Amino acid sequence: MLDLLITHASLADGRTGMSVAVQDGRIVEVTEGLQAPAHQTLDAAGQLLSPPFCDPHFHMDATLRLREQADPADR
Amino acid sequence: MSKLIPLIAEAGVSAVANPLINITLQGRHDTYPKRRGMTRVPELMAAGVTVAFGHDCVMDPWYSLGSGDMLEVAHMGLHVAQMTSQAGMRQCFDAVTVNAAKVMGLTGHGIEAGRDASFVLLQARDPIEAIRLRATRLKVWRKRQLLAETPPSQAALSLAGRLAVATFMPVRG
Repeated sequence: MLDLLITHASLADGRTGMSVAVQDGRIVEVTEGLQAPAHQTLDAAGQLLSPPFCDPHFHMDATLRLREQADPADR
Repeated sequence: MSKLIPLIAEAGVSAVANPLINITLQGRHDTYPKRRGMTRVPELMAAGVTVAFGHDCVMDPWYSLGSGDMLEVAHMGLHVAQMTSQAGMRQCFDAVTVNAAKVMGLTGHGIEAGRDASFVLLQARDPIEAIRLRATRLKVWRKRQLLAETPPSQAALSLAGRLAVATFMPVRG
């Protein structure tokens, strides 16, 4: 059984109706219309599934000290 | 620069432009018309150089208006570089996703079999709409772990005889 199956997703390269199957922390299949048993299935119709955003030039500065509220990780 | 670009491509050197801070700082002391302070992004891309966009400053003395939003970076980069063709806008989306991952050597990046189960579900139908709306990142996963969730964005309208909600995503087809 798959860990996660995302169905009907649009991808950034223009493909639509795509299923993305996940097992053990990795993508195991990207194909159109796949239906398979999964612990979690998510219908992404009308939504874009993007690869992660990456920032190759970044200064944290004040962002490091930004606290919206008391964070348990600060203690 | 035009002589350098083919050499940059041949050497396999990548380029990272930082459109938010570039347009804020560069050309500041020019008289009008002011120069746009970003490197030659479309020209470098056309020559085969991998070009990515960075946020650079997020909240620091040079630039304090950031929120770490790479769609905002792509949005600004697109405008500064005047990359408003359909292909150009998609290239700007690549500049904050696949190109940036390539610059950093992230081999597990991408939505393909065998790659990490790391991806972002956006309230948008394609990369251009994602940039246009700085679309809500509905869910963010890293190696299968769900890291963040945000409810869909929609405005509730109170206008007689009009739609009750607006998402700024016109009907297609």
